[in-house]
Amino acid sequence: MKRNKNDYILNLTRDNTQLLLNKIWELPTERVEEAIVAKLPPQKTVLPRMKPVPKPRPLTKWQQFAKEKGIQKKKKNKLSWDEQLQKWVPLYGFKRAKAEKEKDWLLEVPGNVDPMEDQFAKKIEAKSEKIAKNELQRLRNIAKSTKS
Amino acid sequence: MSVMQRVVKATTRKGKKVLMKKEPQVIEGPKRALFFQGRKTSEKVRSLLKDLYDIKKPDASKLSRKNDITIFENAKPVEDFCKKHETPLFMMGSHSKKRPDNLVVGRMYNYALLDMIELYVESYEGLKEFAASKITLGTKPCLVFNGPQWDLSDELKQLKSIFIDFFHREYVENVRLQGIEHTISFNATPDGKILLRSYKVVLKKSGCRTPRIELEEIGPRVDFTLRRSKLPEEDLMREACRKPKELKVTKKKNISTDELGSTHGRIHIGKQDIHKLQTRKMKGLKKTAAERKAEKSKVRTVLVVNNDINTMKKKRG
Repeated sequence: MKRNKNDYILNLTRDNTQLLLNKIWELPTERVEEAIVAKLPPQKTVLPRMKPVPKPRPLTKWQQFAKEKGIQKKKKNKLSWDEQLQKWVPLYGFKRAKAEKEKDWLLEVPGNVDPMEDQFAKKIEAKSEKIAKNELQRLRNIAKSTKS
Repeated sequence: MSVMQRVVKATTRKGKKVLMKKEPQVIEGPKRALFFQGRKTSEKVRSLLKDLYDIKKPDASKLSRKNDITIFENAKPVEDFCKKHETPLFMMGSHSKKRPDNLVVGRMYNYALLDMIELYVESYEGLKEFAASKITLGTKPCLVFNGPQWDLSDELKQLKSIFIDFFHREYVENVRLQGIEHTISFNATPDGKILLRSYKVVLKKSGCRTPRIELEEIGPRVDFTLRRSKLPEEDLMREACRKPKELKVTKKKNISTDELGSTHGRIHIGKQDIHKLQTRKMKGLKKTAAERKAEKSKVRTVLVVNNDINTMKKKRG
């Protein structure tokens, strides 16, 4: 061993590899695309994972609330009949904005507000605020899910 | 409202895909490795890093600059590197007066250092010094651990686990018999050395089904000795070795197979209600028309009474 270290290791490894391959050759084989493959037994060596086991995505705040209250999602039709326009209007998406514009060509000024205030601008702002609030809630839900 | 964490949001579809890929997966692919240098590196260790990088290749990346890192004092920069390159394995070479020809092998779990072992490269002969033809890129090697020492000390046990993690590439169900062409042997000697040898496998006819194996050394040939080590904390290691629920094999109950290969199942049937059992129909047991009428009206009156009660309840509440 001392004098001829490398040859000793070579022979030892050769014998051990031979033993290993003898075991592999004994395994059940099958033919896959012109090649003979052996089916390996399940892995025994326990190796650490790279990242933690994925967790199910936590419920959003609304989903949590709906679950507690037992609120179930109702299915709505995509199209609904609009009496005013006398045509089918989609719930959202293509042709919805146009229909909305056609409907709101005139807006009523409520009695208790400044008559010179632009009601159209007010409506647009209300909508953009609603969008911003929803975006904030969405981000809060994501932050909550990544923290835990 | 509490302080919000910054949420990384992808702006493009491709970016979204990249972020999705970085999320934890149930089945993880091959572990990638990162090779880099410390403050100063000797030629020996540099070429060893290059050779090991060549062996590990499709799942590896190599940095070429020097880095001011003393990993046993502060592992943070290495963690950052590994996070940036998405590599849970790393190998760092360095050279100093106190610790010449130094190689640190380690791994990460969830972007934090799990364990690492420092090795002294005593002697080294590179891939180039062996004339034998080389192996195909990306083949899965046979790993042979010689010597009883591998199961004796904690450090060597850990080193064995790291080496397996480093070189086994990927868990597979099938292996192509003709594709086995590389053996890496790790030998632990009684005097505390670890000898790494790498061989090309030549399959020769032996007359029986299993071929005779001849080995040809292709390098690298390295002799290591152990230096410092950082073993993993037990909790962290247990957490890292956890198997996902989806991959656990659950035992199927009440199903058995007999010698002929047919499957038998045992199923559970609820208790039978004897009173509702349909027995043989006979003319004598049939109800007469008058009896049937009486039964029907009885049911109807009960329903009407129930309805009345319900409406009264509604009015009240």
